[in-house]
Amino acid sequence: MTDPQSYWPWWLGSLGLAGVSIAFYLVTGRTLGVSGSYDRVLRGRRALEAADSAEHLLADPAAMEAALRAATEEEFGADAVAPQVAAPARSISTAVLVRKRWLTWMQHVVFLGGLLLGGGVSALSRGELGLRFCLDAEFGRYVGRGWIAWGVLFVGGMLAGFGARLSGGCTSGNGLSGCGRLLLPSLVATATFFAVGIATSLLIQARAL
Amino acid sequence: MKVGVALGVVGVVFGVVLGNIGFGSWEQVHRMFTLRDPRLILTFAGAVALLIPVYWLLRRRLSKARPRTTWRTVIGAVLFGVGWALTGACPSIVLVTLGGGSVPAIAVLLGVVAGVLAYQRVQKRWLPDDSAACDS
Repeated sequence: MTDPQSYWPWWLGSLGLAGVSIAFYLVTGRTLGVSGSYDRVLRGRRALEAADSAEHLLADPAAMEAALRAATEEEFGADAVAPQVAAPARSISTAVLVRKRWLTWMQHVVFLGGLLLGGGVSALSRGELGLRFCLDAEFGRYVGRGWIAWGVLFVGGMLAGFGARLSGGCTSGNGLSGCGRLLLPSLVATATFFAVGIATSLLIQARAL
Repeated sequence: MKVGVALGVVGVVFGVVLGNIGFGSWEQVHRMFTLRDPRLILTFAGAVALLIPVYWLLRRRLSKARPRTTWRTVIGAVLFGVGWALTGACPSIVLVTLGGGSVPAIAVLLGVVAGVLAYQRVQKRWLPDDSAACDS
């Protein structure tokens, strides 16, 4: 077991998380959300670029209208999108469409790679860097060992990945960014996943005792 | 290019912060969820409390799309909560623990990847008009 004293006090952690969120916004113009990056990376470079290209939109009037509506709503709010607004396609310059601040596939990869590297740096600074084949002793005692443990981890990861996408975000997207912006779905999602996490963990504990 | 480098730096700092908070430890997360240790909850709540005024000041610059709360929000969060409690990892944490050398994290990462890919299939087929809150 790691000595809990080796971790940061809560206030330093809060400052760190808030600082990272703000830095992410300053760099990208968007709020932080990690599961969204997974989604973009896994869509594949070509699919992502195709979806973002203006040519794709210009070839399809319906997609063009949908994209313009989404962009208008994003920039000016739902009130600005009148139901019968139909902008003449000819007056729209391609440049406006290309200037979307979507991150590229490679930028998402670099961001996730940075997390991986940062995990290594953190472990190094705490003297824990090195291959570890077992989880914490508590995991083995509560959840199981051997193949059961690997199966539980895989299925748990799947639930986390699928659930994050379905609910529109994970701990960073819904938890930090969404709650920070007081968005109702994010507040609901965060309250739900914390409550369910508590219930699940209490069940795991009760089962092991 | 500049954005890419800056984003890499932000990613590394994010990883260091998450690792040093202890969010990457199954035991620490389990202690949080079994209400034995308030530290991680306080860390998270403190960060949100700091971000609320910042995002309020930035409100004119942020996306004004108002995502709706639907059954997806709730069901997704339920699945996510079970997954997080079982593995002690969310999508960002699994990368942090893997970077620290944890081999079991590979199983979790494969699971997360499988889950995200599965959602892409499901969404394409059965759930059109996808609107996620954290689309960056």
